[in-house]
Amino acid sequence: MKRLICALLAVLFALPADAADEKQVQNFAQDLANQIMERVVLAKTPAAQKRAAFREVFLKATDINKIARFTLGRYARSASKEQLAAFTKAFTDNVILTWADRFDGYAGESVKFQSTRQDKNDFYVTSMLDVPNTENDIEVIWRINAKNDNLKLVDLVVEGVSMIMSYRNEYSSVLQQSGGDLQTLINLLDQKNAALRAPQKK
Amino acid sequence: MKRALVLTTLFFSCLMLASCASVPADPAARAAFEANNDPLEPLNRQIFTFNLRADKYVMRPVINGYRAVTTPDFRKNVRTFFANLKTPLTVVNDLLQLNFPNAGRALARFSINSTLGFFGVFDVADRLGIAPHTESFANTLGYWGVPSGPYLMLPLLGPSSVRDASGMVTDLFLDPITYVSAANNEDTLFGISLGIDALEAIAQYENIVDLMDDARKNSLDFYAYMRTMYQQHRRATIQEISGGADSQKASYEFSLDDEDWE
Repeated sequence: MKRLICALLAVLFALPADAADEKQVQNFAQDLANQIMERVVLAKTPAAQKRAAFREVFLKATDINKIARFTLGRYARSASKEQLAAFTKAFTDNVILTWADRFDGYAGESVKFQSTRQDKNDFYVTSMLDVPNTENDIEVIWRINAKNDNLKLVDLVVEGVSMIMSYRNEYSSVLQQSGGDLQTLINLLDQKNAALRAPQKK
Repeated sequence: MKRALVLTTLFFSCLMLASCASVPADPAARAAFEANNDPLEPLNRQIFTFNLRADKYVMRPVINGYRAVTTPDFRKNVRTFFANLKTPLTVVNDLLQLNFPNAGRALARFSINSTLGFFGVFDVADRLGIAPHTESFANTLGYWGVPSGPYLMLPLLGPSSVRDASGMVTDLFLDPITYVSAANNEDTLFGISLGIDALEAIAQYENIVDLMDDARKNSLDFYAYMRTMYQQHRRATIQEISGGADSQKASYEFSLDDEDWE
């Protein structure tokens, strides 16, 4: 009986706590989206400034070390500390260059948040992006990890496609071709970043 | 006609067998190989290279010309028109997936848009609150539990899988429009259907060409990037129509911790 009451109490206390968490996570996602809209999508500043703004917003909101490690998969274990650091830096630059420009090119007006799902420490916040001149809205799910009350964005799922899983698969293919040499991947990323940084020729 | 089909199939089967990638011996590499689900990778990569060339020399000039003489609004109307022609096929596949509410919606959309929407040029039904959706036989196969089979890169048509490619062929036969518009002559039947598909392909390709350019610009291995995007998107789609997302974990709900991957 005592155990039952304890269990009931636990459930009673656990439920409101979870609900509050969900709200917290939704606010986090909304706030992040707002910042990106304000400082990157709608801002009337030069591209370099937008990238800097996005870097600031992005690095604060994400756990980039964890993501970088994940994208390397099994290759992360055999990498030296220096290599891992060099990769994380190149990867971070690449993600920021890619996504700052992607958001910059987003012609929609807003991000509409819909529902939130929880799976242990991970929250999945569903949002819809309305892209002008297309028939269908785009579904973007923000995966937010809540460990130790610290909220971090760890993945974006666009129409069912996980961005970090895509990086992981692509890098795995590159690493396989280079016989598992991490330096090749780092060099390729650096080259790519240099090309992305250069003003576009039209 | 039949003999040509058999010969072509034989030819491609030989080509596929000859170009199968060797399975790696190392367990970790083998796991990665199996996860890619792409035993024909060497051949697929060659076809991909061919497709990129076809894109550069054939499709891109066509798209550029199309864009030069049309406005985005007009192009959207063209897509709506073709989407409407494909709606009966969606109805058939909705029924095969036992999704009667969606079949009703698609049927209502087809009736409304074909009439009030001026032969499907305007999506009046969407404005009336009946949102568009498309279903294909590839999805129907997925709904009934047919696994995707190995990844395939189709000449000109792009990323696919054994299941999705066979679904695509079956759709040609399932499409009511094919039968309505054609006379009894078999060749006319396919001619009309393929002609519509070719025009539709241009309209659709124009719609995704910027996304493809973005992917190409930002990826290190464009082929691998497209492959994972396609596979993940298909897995999520099939999961969604099967209603599995509620009971089981969605495909993107994987663990981020390395240990869980062993």
